[in-house]
Amino acid sequence: MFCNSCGSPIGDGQKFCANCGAPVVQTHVAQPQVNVNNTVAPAPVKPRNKKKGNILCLISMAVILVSTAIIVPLSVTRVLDDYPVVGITVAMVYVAAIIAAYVIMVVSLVKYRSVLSKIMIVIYIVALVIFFIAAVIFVMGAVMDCGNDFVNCLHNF
Amino acid sequence: MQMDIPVFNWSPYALMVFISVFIGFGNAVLLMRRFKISWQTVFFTCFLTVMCTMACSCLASVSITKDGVRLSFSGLGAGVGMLIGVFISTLIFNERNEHVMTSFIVSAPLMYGVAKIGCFMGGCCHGKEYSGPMAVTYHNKYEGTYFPLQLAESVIYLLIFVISFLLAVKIRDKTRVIAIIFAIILPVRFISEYFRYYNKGTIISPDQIIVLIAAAVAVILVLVWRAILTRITGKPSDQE
Repeated sequence: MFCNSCGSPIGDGQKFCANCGAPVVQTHVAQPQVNVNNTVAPAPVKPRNKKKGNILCLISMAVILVSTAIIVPLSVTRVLDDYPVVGITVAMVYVAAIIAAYVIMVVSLVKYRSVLSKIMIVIYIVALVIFFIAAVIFVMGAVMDCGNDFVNCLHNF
Repeated sequence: MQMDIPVFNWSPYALMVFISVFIGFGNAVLLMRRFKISWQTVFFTCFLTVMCTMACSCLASVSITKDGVRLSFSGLGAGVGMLIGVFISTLIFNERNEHVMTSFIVSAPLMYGVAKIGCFMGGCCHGKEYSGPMAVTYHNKYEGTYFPLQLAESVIYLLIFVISFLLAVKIRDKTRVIAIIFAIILPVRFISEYFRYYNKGTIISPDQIIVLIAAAVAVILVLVWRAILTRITGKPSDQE
């Protein structure tokens, strides 16, 4: 089998071209149909189910929106401050939900390549980069506030 | 020769932790490209693995103290998070899975070695009191003269990284490479705890038990990952 994008040879079971990275369209090995005029019709290529991809995108966005809608009021009102174990559990579930949402979005993009998934993955990546930069600034700021005791402030390596 | 560490007005520890993440993931990317893994897989594997590493690193260190909830970074948590990230990614992409896993496991000692330089400059995780050659003196809250355990750890982990890198490039059976790296890193991490300032001379300390638990989680994760991939792909390994 050869890559549809660059023409490089592709081994059995490979999902992406090792040369250009393009996804391999798995075609069913159907026998070319010969019609009465003796011309060979190309084997049918199974189209990606874009609708399924969009549904996965929506599920991913719903997970993020619902979990954030729950965590933000809890965080702002600080109602869980007196119950640290519950607070930590909620935070862990929230982080797991966000990671799950990202995984679903990546699956949607890789398996179905719908337009919505392409747009949303860019937004997700930008959001993660902004979060990472904010985390760096926060950590550095917290550490600076601690002066020479920074290790006590932020450390458990 | 003795070493005298000045008091810093900034945090070498935090800086080195972030640098270690960038260097480690950069090395993983280089290795994956060397193994001819597509850019798409490389990009999204790093994307998911960074998330899982950061999340597990913080969540594994959460503790409840009298002053409230304490959150920090845990190297062991980061290691487990990295494995989880690669685990999820390989299930999605299914492209040269053991090569992807090897690329990240090879990078782990590099990240740890670089981060330990931050510990050495900051004074945390220091060794027992010592005044012989290469002793290190701090003037911050860890004031005292100690065995340079963090520096020794850093050198050893960077050496392990060099060995792991060479093994990953030379040996075709990546499962064996992963097993060898685990077999080197875990005893080193366990033995180094004997030289830590808080070790009371007991046969096994609470921190060593945590190391053993993290090691067990890591090994179980890799075994479960392999079993799932074998079930999905129908073959035990993705070697050429």
